Amino acid sequence: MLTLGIDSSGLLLTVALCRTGEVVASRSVEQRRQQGEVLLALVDECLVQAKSELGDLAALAVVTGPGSFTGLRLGIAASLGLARSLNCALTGYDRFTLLRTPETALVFESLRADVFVQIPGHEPQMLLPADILSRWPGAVAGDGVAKLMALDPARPVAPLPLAAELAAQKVYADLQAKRELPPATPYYLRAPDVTFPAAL
Amino acid sequence: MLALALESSCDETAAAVVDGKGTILSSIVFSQLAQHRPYGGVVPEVAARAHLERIDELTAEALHTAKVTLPDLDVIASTCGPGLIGGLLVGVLYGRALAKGSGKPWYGINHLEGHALTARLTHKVAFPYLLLLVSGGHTQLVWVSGVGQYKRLGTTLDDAAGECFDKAAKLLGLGYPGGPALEKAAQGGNATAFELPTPMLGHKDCNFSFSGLKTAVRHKVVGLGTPTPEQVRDLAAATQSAIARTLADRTARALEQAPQRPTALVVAGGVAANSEVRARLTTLAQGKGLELIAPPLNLCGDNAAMIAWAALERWQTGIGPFDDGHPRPRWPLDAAPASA
Repeated sequence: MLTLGIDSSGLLLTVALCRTGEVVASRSVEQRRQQGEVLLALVDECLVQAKSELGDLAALAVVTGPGSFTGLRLGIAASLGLARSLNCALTGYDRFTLLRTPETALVFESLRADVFVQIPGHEPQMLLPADILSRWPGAVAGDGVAKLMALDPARPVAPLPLAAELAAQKVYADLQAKRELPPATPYYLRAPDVTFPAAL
Repeated sequence: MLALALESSCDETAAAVVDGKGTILSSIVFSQLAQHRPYGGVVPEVAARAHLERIDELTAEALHTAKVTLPDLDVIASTCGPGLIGGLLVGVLYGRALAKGSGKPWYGINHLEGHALTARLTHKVAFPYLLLLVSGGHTQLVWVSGVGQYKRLGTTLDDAAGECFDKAAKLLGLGYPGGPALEKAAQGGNATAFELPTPMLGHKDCNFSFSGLKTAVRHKVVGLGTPTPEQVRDLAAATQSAIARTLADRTARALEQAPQRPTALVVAGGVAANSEVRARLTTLAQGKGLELIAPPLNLCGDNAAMIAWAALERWQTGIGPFDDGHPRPRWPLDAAPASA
């Protein structure tokens, strides 16, 4: 069974292909503007490497966030279009669910002063880097750690696996176990930026 | 020939299936009005979220209503611009992925081209014609001489006409969206009770300007303190009349400057739904011996049927897609590339 994982929610855009739960191809590029066509090109590259075709895909798993609003929408929109046209299963997993460990605080870039964070034992939230450091003494991981390192260069940073690869593996495992697949809905964690219209 | 198209450039999510003869097999429009109303205008992030929530189900509904499946299609199209980038990205990525998975060509369509060619979808108008494109985001006079062949004769120097409707309505406490609210209020009003300027009246070029009119309305409102219901109705009528007069005057100028006699005068965009605007343009057209072609109200505003039709026109004339696939917030119609 071939499963595809897509993660466009972070600073790195990743597409990964798994066969029976084993990663057989994985491509990552730094997120830039116009990454939409890059995302679909990465899908092609993975398929070529795995000597497979789009029609072979049994399921898609997209990383739903939190992260760049625009980025995660790109991944979900592309996944919705692929899943409908290929008539294959589609699900979404958030980054905390995929990457959570009991020893590490996960910190993801939000392009704001505060970052998306999950401290072990706590719900995901948005915090300023200094607040994270004061509340959590242990290791940190994720694409938002640079802001923490600027304040505490000695803080241990744990490596993280690629969420797209984990997503492709997890959907395979969930299908094998006949678990219900969660919908591919965005996990924003932050309310919309509301800009009131300019004064008349 | 069958096209499926997606439209997500502003605050309406839409999907439609149209055939090569111009039969609209389905045209589904989801308005985000309720989500934006509390803010008195379109909030880009709210719009982008709403597009993503709806686009897949609307596509399924459009296909189901049209009684077609993806393999039946010849082309899939998305609005590529101009518009709010967050929404455009959703429609473009979804459309491109849909096309990729179904092995169909994908066309990125200029939203304004969709409006420009709607008259050919609904009325089979022959080229060349003069188009007045008038909406909340655009006010342009365009000479349409062929598919992909557009020359702007005039444009607004500041606000769009629809924007002026919205802002005047807000000043008068008439709610959002302002165009329909102001038209309704104007029905009982006396347009001559207040003197408002007719912007750009008699100017040699074909441009528009509405910010001065908006300011004039504001001064009237401020001068009145708290306008009575009757004053609100009168000011609404005067504002609507000023906008309609301006549109008619500028369009008359464009007809004088047109490179040749057009086959028709065409009006498109959301403001084309306004009855006084239509009435003044009808009078103008008749005076010139032309027919005024205005799309039915459901095709005046944003919709995906016009995007599907533009894709079909490009397909059928062999011009082909605009295919770099980059959504673009700004994209003047006369800068639309004819091909990839």
